[in-house]
Amino acid sequence: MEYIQGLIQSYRDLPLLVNQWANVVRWEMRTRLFLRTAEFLWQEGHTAHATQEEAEIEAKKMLDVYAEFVEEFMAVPVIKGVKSESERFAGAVDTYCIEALMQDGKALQAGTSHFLGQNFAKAFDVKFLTKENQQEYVWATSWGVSTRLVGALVMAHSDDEGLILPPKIAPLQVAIVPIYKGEEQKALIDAKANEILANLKNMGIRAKYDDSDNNRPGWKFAEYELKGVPVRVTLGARDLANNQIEVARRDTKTKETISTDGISQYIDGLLLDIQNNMFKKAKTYRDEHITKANSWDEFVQLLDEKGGFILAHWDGTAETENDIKEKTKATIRCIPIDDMGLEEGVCILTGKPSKRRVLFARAY
Amino acid sequence: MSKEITSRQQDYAQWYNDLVLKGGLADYSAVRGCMVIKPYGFALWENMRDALDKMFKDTGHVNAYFPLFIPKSFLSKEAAHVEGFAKECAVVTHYRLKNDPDGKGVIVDPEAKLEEELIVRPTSETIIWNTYKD
Repeated sequence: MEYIQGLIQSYRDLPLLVNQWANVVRWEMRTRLFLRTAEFLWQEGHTAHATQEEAEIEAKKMLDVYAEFVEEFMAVPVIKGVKSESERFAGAVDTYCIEALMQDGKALQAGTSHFLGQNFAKAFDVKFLTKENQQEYVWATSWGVSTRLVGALVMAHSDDEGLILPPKIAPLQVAIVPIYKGEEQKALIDAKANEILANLKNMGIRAKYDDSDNNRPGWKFAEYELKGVPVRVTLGARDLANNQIEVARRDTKTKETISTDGISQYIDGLLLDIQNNMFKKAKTYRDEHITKANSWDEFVQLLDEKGGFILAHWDGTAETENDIKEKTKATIRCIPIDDMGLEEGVCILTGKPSKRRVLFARAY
Repeated sequence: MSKEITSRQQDYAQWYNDLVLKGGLADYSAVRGCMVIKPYGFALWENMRDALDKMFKDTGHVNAYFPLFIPKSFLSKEAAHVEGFAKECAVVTHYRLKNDPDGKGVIVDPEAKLEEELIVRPTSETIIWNTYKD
């Protein structure tokens, strides 16, 4: 394909906006399911641009895409920022990141986008002909998210009963479970359940009628709860006679008895409501766990007793950053892109002047 | 029931592992540090992947695929880059096995040594930028 080999020759070939879905290997010594594995699945975008400005815009644009995805689909709020020099991607000029907060108060880097400057173009001698007929090195970005996001999803939402999956990405959105005695009742329930199932599927909802008879309803309830299925519908003979149905939502663990008329529309709305509620709950928790620390003692105390993100002043040096890490295991998650913590002060460790607060946390 | 989940209060790390394992998302594998993503976990990843893929395409990006293996010399072309990844690289040194002369399974054929070792990609900047050049 002409798009790839020998493709960057003149400004007409730019920008080049390529993504790859692949597996990669990083030989980690201490691994954890999804969060840190030696082999993982991810996507990596690699773009080439004619100007520095355009590449910087691209790097930030993809960070916005990640933030939108994680918030809208995964229902996990994130803070956008730029990494300090020591946390920067190897070979990047700037590394932008989104940082999420898990329920144990530890942060998790959910995605990164790098402005690579001309570093790789120079290393591999990739030049292009400008409109002015000059040979110049191209400007680059790269950006990636991985299966680590699945780990983030699990830790951000679940409870002691199991997973809680946001409807937009849940493999199964609605499970319909029958409760019956004897074949006669079952036949009636089957008819209604299949009608509801067909309606849900027509609306594009991922639903399943679980009439398997090798497990009791109570076992199925626990199983769907464990798997984080957003909505469970129970169809019993008596409810059906009253034209009613029980609808249980996984996020709040509440149940309602609803008329079977218009049940599909009701469930459609409920899925949206669950998606929004999950985000709101995660955001409330996250917002309650962004705290300002104004002294070293306060910083250490917050880390040990409250956790979460801590906005504190830092003198801007790698030494201080490293000292703080050695003493507390907290790292600078990012320097926020927006005006969060934008005020002058003095470094919590060295007392030297600081232009703004940065975001600290213990992290995965 | 064997599906009981350790509570978050009791042991957060175990709670997480229980959710992943008992929730049917993934399992440990015969290879240390590598996991099996089970059908339910993969369906979840697919939904995430598809949503992201659509967002990439809506912003003008196209998909392509580059080699799994990267010649060792490529990695060292960008100094900071190689320093960042050198400590966690898997390296392919040979391309063939042969029967163990002692009759016990197979061994790496010493005659099948690669002239230049290949790195299993930790990230693809180098192989991609090399491709962009010519």
